[in-house]
Order: sequence, then C-alpha cells, then structure tokens
Amino acid sequence: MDTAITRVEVDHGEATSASYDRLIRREMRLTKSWWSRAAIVAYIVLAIGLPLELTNSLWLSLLTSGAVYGIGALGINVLNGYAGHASLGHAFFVSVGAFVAIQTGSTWGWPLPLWLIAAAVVGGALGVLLVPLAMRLRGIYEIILTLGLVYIGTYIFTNWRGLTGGSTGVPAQLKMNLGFIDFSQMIIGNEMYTYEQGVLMLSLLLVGLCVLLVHNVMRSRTGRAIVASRDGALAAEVVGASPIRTRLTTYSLSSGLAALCGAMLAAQLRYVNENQFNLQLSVQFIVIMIVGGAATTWGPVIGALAVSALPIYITTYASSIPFVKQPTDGTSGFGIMPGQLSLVAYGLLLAVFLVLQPSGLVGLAKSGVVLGRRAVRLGRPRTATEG
Amino acid sequence: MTDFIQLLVSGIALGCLYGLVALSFVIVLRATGVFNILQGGVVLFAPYLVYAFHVQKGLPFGIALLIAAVICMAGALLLDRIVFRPIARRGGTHGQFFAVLMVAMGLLTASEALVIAIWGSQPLSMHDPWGLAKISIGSVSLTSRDLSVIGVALVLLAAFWFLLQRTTIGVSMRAVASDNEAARIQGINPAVVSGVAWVCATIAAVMAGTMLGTEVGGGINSTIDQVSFLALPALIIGGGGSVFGCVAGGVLLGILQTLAAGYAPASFGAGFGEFVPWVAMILLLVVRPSGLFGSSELRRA
Repeated sequence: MDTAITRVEVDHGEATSASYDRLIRREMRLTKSWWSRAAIVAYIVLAIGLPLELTNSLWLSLLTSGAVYGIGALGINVLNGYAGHASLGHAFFVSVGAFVAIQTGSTWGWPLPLWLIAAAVVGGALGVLLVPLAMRLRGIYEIILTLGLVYIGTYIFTNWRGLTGGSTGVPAQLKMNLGFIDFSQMIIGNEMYTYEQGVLMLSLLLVGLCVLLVHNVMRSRTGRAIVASRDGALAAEVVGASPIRTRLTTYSLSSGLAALCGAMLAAQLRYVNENQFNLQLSVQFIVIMIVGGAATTWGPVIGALAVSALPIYITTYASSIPFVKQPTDGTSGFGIMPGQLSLVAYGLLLAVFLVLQPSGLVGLAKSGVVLGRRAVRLGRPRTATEG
Repeated sequence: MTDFIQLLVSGIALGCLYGLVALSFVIVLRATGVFNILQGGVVLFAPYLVYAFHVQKGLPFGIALLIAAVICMAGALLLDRIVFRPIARRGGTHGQFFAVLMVAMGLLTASEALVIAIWGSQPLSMHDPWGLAKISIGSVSLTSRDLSVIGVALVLLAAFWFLLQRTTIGVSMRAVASDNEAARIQGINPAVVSGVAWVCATIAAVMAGTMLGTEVGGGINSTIDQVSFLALPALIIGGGGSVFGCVAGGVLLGILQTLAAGYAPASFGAGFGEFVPWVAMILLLVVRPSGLFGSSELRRA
C-alpha cells in the first residue's frame, strides 16, 4: 500500500517536472511564437521607414523624445515597477550617461557603438556601487539615499567645468557613424536625410532593443527572482533568490539604461547643461512610468510618448486653458505661468493616475479590450454553459 | 575663533529648522506609517500665508501665524482624506508607500507653481518680525534672527517632547507606531492619533517655514520647500524614528553645512555647503548604517 502510493507520487512528480521543463523552455525562448517574430520584423521596418518619411520637425522631436525618455523610463521601470525599489536618483545616472557620451563620443571621437556602450557601462557600474548602501536601506531611507545622488551629481557636474562646461553647458558633437551608415547625414539612393531623422531612427531602433532586453531579462531566472523579491522578500530568499544578485541585476540594468538615455539625450539635443538633470527629471521619469503602466513591457515607452507630447500641446493651447496667465494679463492677479504648466500637469498626472488608474495607460488599454470582448459576448445569444 | 562661533550659531539655527522639518516628517511617519513629503508644501505655503495676513491685511504677526497654521492644517487634513487615504486604503501592493510619496511629490511641484500663480515669482519680504539687529557679545556678533530661531525651535521641541513622552496621546502615538494592531486592541483610535500627528507635524512645518521666510536677504520665495529635501538626510544621520534622533540629526546637518560653506576655499566651487551633508550621510551609511542615535529595526519602516 505504502509503496504503491509512493510510486504514484514519484511518477506524478516526474511527469509534472518534465512538462514544467518543457513549459519553462518554451517561456524562455527569445520569441515565443511566429507572431512575436513578425512583430519584431514589423517594428524594425517601422523604425527604419518612419523617420525617412517624416519631415515635420515637431513630430520628429516629439517621437525622438518619446523614444529617448522611453529608454530611461525602462530603467526606472526595472527598479521600481519590477523590483519594487524606490529611486529619485535616476537623473544622476542620466547625467553620467550624457557626460560620458560627450567625453568619449565628442572629445575623444569614439565611434557610435563605443560611446553608447561606454555610457551604459559607466552608468551601470555606478549603479553597482550603490548596491552595498541600498542593501542596508528600505522604503523612505532608500529614497533619501538616491535623492542624495541628485544633489551630489549637481555639485560635481557644476564644478567639473572641463567636462561639463559648468553652468554654461557644453555642446555635444557626437560621432554618429555605425560602419558605413552615418546617422547624422544619411544618404540612401539620391535622397539625403537630416540629423533629426537619423537620431529618430537610431533612438527607435535602440528603444526597441532595450524593450526586448528588459522583457527578456524579466522572463529569465534572475528576472523572476527580482519580481519574487518584490512580492515577498523573505519567501524569495528562502527559495534561493539571492538578494545580492537580484539587487546587482536591478541596479546595474536600471542605471545602465538611464545612462544610455542620457547619451541619446546628448545626441538628440547636441548641447547639454548640467542643470537639466535635476530632481524634476527624476520625477518626470516616474511620471512616465506610472502614466504608461508600471511593470509592463511597453508601458514606459507609451508613457514617454504621452508625457513628452504634453509640454508641446500645453504651449500650443495655453491660451485656451483656464487659470493660465496670458501675456495680456500683466503681472498682477491670479494665473499660472505658462512655463510652469507642464510641472503642474506632471504633478496632477501623477496624482490622477495613482489614485484612479494605477495600472497606467497599458492597464487602461487592457481593460478596454476586456470590456470590448464582454460587449461582443453580450451581443451573442447565450449558450447553456455560459453563466 | 570669533568666526567659528558666529558660523556655529547660524549653523545651529539652520539645523533647528532642519530638525523641525525632519520632525514633522517623522511624527506623521510614525503615527500613520506613511511618509508624506507634502509637509514641504506646508513649509512653502506658511510664510506666504503669514505674509498675506501680516503684511497685506495688516494683522498682528502672532494672529497671522495662527491663521496660517489653521489654514495649513485644514488643507493637510483635507488632502489626507481625499487623496492619501484612498491610496493607502487600497493596500496590499508593494508600491503603496511609494504611491503616496509620488502623489505628494506631484502635489508639491504643483504647489510651487500655485504659489507663484497667486503671489508672483518675486521674493517677498515679511518686514522681519524678529528684527535684524546684531547682538554683540565681546567680539562675537550674532543676528537676533538666529537666536530667536534657536529659541523658538527649542520651545517647540520641548513641547513636542513633552507631548510625546508625558501625555496619554503621546503614549498612544508611540503605541500605534510600534504595533498598530495591538494598539487598536488596547482601545486606541488610530484616526485620533493620526489626526493629532498631522496637527503636530503641521505646526512644526508652519513654524519652520515662517522662520525660513524671514531669512536675512532671502525673503519668501517659491523654492523654500527645497528645505524639505535638504532636511531628509537628518532622518538617516539621526537614525530615524525618534524625536531626539531626527532633531539631533537636523542640528548636525545645519552645523555641517554652515561650517563647510564658511571654511571651504573658493576652489571647491559653488554649492559645497549643500553637498557636504549628503556625503556625510553616505559615509555614515558605510560606517554606521543604523545612524548615530538609531536602532536598526526602525529603519525598515
């Protein structure tokens, strides 16, 4: 009797473990189905085709900002969305990336892939340095530590004039050639394309690559350990998720992506001033992540597109928004300065999304799909098995 | 030596303000388990409100201060009910405290713009209720503003210490902080405790803001709330949690910042004073992660 039960259990165990193995192997593949492979190909076609067709400079800068900020937001999404750690220091790593890119790609004249890699590596390494300190802190104390990075970065970069030009800023003439392609002045056939078009193409390709990277790291063993530590630190440690390893992956990936974002920002703006990397920028990345949808694959990029578009729309329509000071109003009386409108908008967006729509735009779209399906089902005559 | 004493006194004055701001964070953090940086908004609004009633409406300084405190309290309680409670009540997810913090950061940013929208972006002067006269003791001359800041802060801190350590409501607050459920079983109403905590925190923040607003030369401006970030290392340096720890941390922070700014050679560049406290905080984290006066468990809030 005993032996029979044992044998059955063993058989059962082997069967499930084998099918789990198959399941896990399937899950671990870079692309799960022909559909996702087709989507990747479609994205690459779009990323190359769209910039070539687009000539409107407003759209070019909007989409480029969306892609560049999307890279940084992917970083904060790893740290906060997936790993549940809080950080206000993202702007520091972005500034590190920007200045490393300028030093290597502009002053030393390294080629495109090298300065991108240099920025990401230096940023990631600094993130790793933070781990021993962050391991000791949680919650608000972790936030205070990362907030300190912004202030320390401001001091260092304001006074390191040789690198950053101090408070006047520094122009960035980055080398943009990758092999025979020069993104700063692409020539295809007889057509010559502008710098802005090249940067857009590069940043779209890069953000796609980063989305794929983050998505797949998060599906890997380490990625699952990171999410598990977020949801139950002790339980995750008991089943073998090393807290040091998960933190190392989280921090290096997150700050590396932030630095990559900084490098691309330098490439996009062609001029960098250290005072743009302030606390406001850190908050902006968090706004982007939350508006898009935390711990989702595409959320940060969608959020970045939505949030980057905001200041442009606000300045365009400032005259028809209530409570805004118009040029005709003079200096007295109540009215929000147009220059500060986007700050107010960020603040209100944060509050509105966190209170009413915590899963962000991606969550909104998903619930829209669910509602749509339910509507379709309601329209059909019900069968006996449907409740 | 004279320089040193002068710097030390103004450092202690600045430190007392940091201590008050840090205290207002810690009181709410301990009583409700929620860290709310919107106290920085109180620090920002208070001097403007005092300005509006004292200078614009011509009311006496004390009454203006009282009205400002009441308005700030009402605003803080209202926001707590309509914004922060719903988030905290949702419960269960890892990012709860982060959500509260981010909403507060967002509202703080918006309130900077709101202040400029109402009162304009020019710095305002409060006619300086403390007086700018210098008091000379031997060769040391001290501004009476620094001395009155230290005096007011000491009185307030003593009052808070008495409230927390020697009264029933203070004991209830500490009970809620150490074990929420056990405190409820003992018949303590958490809503009352968090209400009292909000009131105390708001008073501390209003006083800190008003005293900052009278700063020599600086006046009232829309970046006063930055002090709420600069005061945060006090929580780590002091070890967090205790009233004594965060106030001592704040005072140390102020002294460090003033001395660093006063003695740094010009080659160290701009902003050295504000840079030093953060470096000190990081060094302390390496050497003594539980802070100067803290026990390690408090930091895991």
